[in-house]
Amino acid sequence: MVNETRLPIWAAAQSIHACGRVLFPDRIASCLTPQLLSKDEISLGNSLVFSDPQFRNLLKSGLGMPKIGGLLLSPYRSFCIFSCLWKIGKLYKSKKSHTFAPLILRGSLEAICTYMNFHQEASRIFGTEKDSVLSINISETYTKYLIRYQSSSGWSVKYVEESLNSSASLTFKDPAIARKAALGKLDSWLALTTGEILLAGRIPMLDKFGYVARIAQREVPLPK
Amino acid sequence: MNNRKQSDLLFRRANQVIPTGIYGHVAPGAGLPLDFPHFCQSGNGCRFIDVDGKEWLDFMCGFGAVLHGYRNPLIDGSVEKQHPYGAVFNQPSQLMVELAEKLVEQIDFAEWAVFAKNGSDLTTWAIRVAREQTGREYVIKARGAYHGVDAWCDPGLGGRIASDRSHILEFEWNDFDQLESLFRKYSGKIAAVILTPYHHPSFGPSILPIGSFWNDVETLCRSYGTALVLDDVRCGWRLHDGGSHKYFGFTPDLAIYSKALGNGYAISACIGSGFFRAGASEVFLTGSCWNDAFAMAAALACLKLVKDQETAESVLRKGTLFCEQLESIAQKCGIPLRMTGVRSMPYPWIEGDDNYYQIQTLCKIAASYGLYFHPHHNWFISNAMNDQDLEQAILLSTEAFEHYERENLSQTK
Repeated sequence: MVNETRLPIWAAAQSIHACGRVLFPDRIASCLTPQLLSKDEISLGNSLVFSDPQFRNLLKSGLGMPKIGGLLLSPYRSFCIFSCLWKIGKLYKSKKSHTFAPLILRGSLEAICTYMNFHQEASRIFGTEKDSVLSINISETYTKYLIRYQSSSGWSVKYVEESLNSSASLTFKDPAIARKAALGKLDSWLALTTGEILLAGRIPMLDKFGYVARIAQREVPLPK
Repeated sequence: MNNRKQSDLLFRRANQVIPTGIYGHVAPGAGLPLDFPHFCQSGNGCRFIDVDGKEWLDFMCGFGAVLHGYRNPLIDGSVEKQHPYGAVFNQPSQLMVELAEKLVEQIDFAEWAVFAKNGSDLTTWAIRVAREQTGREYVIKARGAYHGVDAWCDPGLGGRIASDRSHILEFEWNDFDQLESLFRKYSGKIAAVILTPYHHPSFGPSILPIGSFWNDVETLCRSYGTALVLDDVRCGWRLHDGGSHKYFGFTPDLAIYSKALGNGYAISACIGSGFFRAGASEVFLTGSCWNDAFAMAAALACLKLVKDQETAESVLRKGTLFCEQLESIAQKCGIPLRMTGVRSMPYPWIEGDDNYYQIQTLCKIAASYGLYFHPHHNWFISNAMNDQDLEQAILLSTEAFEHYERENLSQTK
């Protein structure tokens, strides 16, 4: 069980891994597989180990120092990890919304799902929604993500190509809006009234999702 | 889509200086954010005009606060009469005594009354009175029922700590066995059961009490020495002019009113039986403007109106006519619409529409015809609605429902 103190970095690591799975071949993406270790340490790809504060620094400033042992034992793999992190960080800064917004949104949804699974209050309020399915869409790009609960894996996000029935849907007007939302830079209250965000279906579920998303966005460091 | 230029401009301004722009049950996200206006300019009778000048035939009545129509001349006239004297002083005005006397006279079990501004002020105070009187901690409510904005009961998500609800128990409305088992489990610890006259949650059909539910609840409370608190804030004077307990045939110990009590002037009242006077005397109660003589003048006028015009019967009759016709139009258009709950404040429910997509679409279309139909909250029938208004509402509803049917057909082709 992830404790709430470590939840922000765990959610960030999950988010990065999700982006990596989309961007890179499996072999490379596996370098980013996170694992929470004891003693406030986190590893990536089973090789590089960071203390929690150093991992947070890595995300926030790009400057985080791993434990020296992993670097020495697997220098090539370590290089791969830093390279992937650098590429992902660059995408977060990119203004090419159409190309990268779905990816950044995916990363953000992964972090939110991690909160829905492990944040005490978030998992409590989503406890009554386990039969519900939430679809998150970006108009113009045909991007559609489904968030649903499975007893084996908890809440998870999945890219889908076909339109499926959902309990509620949240649609971003275009990729630029989706990007702003994913980066926590969209005023969602205003966006609702301008049509930049469209809500439909089970509104109480969307309220809960918005609440948890705002907690996650406040706490989870974004890659830089 | 409706023209909302001014509404949107105002919302942008509001959003700069008010968290979320507009909050609570009238927040854009709680209704139809692209179809309903954000701000109103004026109201008259059963209609209101938004800040873009569009007139709406209203079925929400200020979310229930207005029963006798916007700007009712008799009520506004009573307030006008008080204007030369003022509203709030160091001490209450004579109107407070007159209002308490009137409530004690009109509501059969009432032996005293106190006043505040909102329903929440007094639902929370009432359960504290019950706790004081009984010396017990626990309060039982129906799951999903709304009793206000305080931490023990608010429907929101933020700002809560676990202890806020550690002494609040819930049961499913109408499930008397479940309620009884809570009494057994917490024997001697339950201070109050607080319920609305019937179950009218948001985002779900309203549910009337079945069988002997209310009598059983009353008997149970009496046998355990628990206070039966009636939250009549929303239903008050829409079901019966002597309080909604008369409509369902039971007697509570405490009852709370607001909304229709002031017809838009902010006032709430808690009334109680003699037994609870001692508890009521010990629980501190005050507020900056709670002795507001304008609101009390309005409430006195409202109480006179409900008797003179038999308002409850009137809105029930109008609501029945409207609901029956609406269901009939819906049926002709292939929409399995049921107007649930009491006819003076019906909740629209489309069978099989568990995620509200259909009702949201239907209400969006209705909005384009100037009908203020809310997709997620019970509606309210204004007593200012006359035959012509009802006729127009039915005519516009027919057009809107046929429009909905055409859109549905074109989507399935």
